[in-house]
Amino acid sequence: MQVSVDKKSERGAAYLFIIPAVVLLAAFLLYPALQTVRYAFTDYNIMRPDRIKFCGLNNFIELFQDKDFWIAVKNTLHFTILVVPFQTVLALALALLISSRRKGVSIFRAAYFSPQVTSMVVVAILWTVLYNSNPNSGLLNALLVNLGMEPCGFLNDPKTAMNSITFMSAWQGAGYQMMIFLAGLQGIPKDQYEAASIDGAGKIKSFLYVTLPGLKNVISYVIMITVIQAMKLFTQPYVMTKGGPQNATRTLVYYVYEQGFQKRNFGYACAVAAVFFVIVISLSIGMKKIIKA
Amino acid sequence: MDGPTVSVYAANEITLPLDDLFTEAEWEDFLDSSKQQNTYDGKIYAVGATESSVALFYNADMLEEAGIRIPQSKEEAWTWTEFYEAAKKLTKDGVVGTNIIMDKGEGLPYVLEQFWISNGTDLVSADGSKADGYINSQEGIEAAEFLNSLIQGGYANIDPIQKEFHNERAATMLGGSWEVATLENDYPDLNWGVTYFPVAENGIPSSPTGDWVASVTKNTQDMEAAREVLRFLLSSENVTTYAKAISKPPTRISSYEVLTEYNEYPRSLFKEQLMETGHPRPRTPSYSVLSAEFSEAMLNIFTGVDAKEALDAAAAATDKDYNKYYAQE
Repeated sequence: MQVSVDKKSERGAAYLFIIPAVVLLAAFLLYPALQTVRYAFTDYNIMRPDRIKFCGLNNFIELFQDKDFWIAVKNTLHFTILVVPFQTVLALALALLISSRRKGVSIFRAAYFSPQVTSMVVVAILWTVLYNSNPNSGLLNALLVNLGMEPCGFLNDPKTAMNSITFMSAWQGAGYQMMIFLAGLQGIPKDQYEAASIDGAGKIKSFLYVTLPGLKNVISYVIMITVIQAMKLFTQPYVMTKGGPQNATRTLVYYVYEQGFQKRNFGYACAVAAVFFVIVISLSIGMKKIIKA
Repeated sequence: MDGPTVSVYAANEITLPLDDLFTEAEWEDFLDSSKQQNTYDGKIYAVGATESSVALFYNADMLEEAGIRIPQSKEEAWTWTEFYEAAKKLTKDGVVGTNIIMDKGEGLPYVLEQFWISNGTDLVSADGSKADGYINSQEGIEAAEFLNSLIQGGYANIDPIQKEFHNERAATMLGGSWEVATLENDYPDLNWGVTYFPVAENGIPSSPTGDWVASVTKNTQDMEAAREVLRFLLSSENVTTYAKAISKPPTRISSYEVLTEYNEYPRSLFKEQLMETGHPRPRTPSYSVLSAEFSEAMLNIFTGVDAKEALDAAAAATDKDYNKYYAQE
């Protein structure tokens, strides 16, 4: 009898603790999300909040026929497909490098993690200067020209703009994934490595047959969150290229922002946002199924 | 609000007309460019205390060394050909002939619209309802291709560093009236001058204008009080004081009698442009769309897209916005 009384008050206390978080989530996540779905079926223009008319599936029909929407989908997938493997492999490589117990390793740990600590806006502005297409002004182009190569348009060339953003995003984000991999590496029991070396496994074999399987859960987690984050790409195109040149860096979230706040087509933007949500959810569910298999 | 957005708020009935804020005689004291900017559909919706202008700054040393003539009067302003030839001649030793604003934003329509106007067209029709046939007219395409020729020839950078002209990496610059104070205070060693905005061959002399203004929203509880505040803020004395404090040209003609610095070069040039060739940006409810589309079109043209194609796309997007929200009225 005493046990059940304790359990009841424990549960009461638990509810009290989570109420603030639930309230915040409901107010800032759930409510706006429901409003978005609601507005997706209207012709809401934010300059005319008093003239909102229900317009059924018009916005959705329009967006499926909208060339710019599909370009945004393509750009977002382009970025995601490139950045996820690149950033994950980079993070794993860095984690392996600094997982040793040698002296001075903590300096490298801080160095590799530091881009993550800086605001993405600051990093983007910095890299815009680095990527300047004029060899007299851009550090990277100055380096290329000094090595005898042609200067690269980087952010001003529609062929290289998205890849330039990809590289810089991986550079910035690898630090975070590296920390997760580090924790994962430390979770692999040492005796597995010992057993492997007793069996005659070299560095590569022990990596393939001890490290990787041991990291399986961590790797799938890292890939999942990186994919979701990559799909949401906005800051870099907004700060660096404003979606250009020639639509090369216009991502889905940037398209939503542009339609909603710049062109004031709020209803349409909400429809795009709703479709975006469906895309990301489907991707996540799809990936979970693949990983389970 | 920023000047060109007056029409956006007015067309969406967010702000109220202010025609009776001042008497006819009092309105006469305000610059035409400012009143034009703030007028939509025949009514005035805003008032401002300051204006702005853009002119051609030049590095006097570089121009003298290259033997390039400097216009002494409005009639002698450079034509596009002279501008092109000068920029070409001045591009050497890591210095480009001119600096074109590349802020990927409002700066582009602000400065570059004048090339359309000078060539006899504009970005939209006079009532702001149509872009097709204006921004992408033959004259418009010529303006865009002229600007692109400067970039493709390497006489202007598509990716200029900050303060390119101030750091002597560009020989000329289409810069705003606010640059005068910056150059005087922060770059005293630079031997600079300023001359008239370039004009198209046999074209109309035209220069950018536009600055922030104040309006009254329809939610106002006490229109009389709002009017009194605006009349006080925009009184002759207060406009003069404010314009002097932030180093911007005033909108009231009477203020120029007090601020005598505008009778001397270089400020006199901006005053002359404001009063005689100043042309505000288009008054259209679709301005936000037009501005963004114009910037994007110009950047696409600079990176290789055909001018007609890019401008057609900009016209189509602007007209789509206008027709969707404003055409039925």
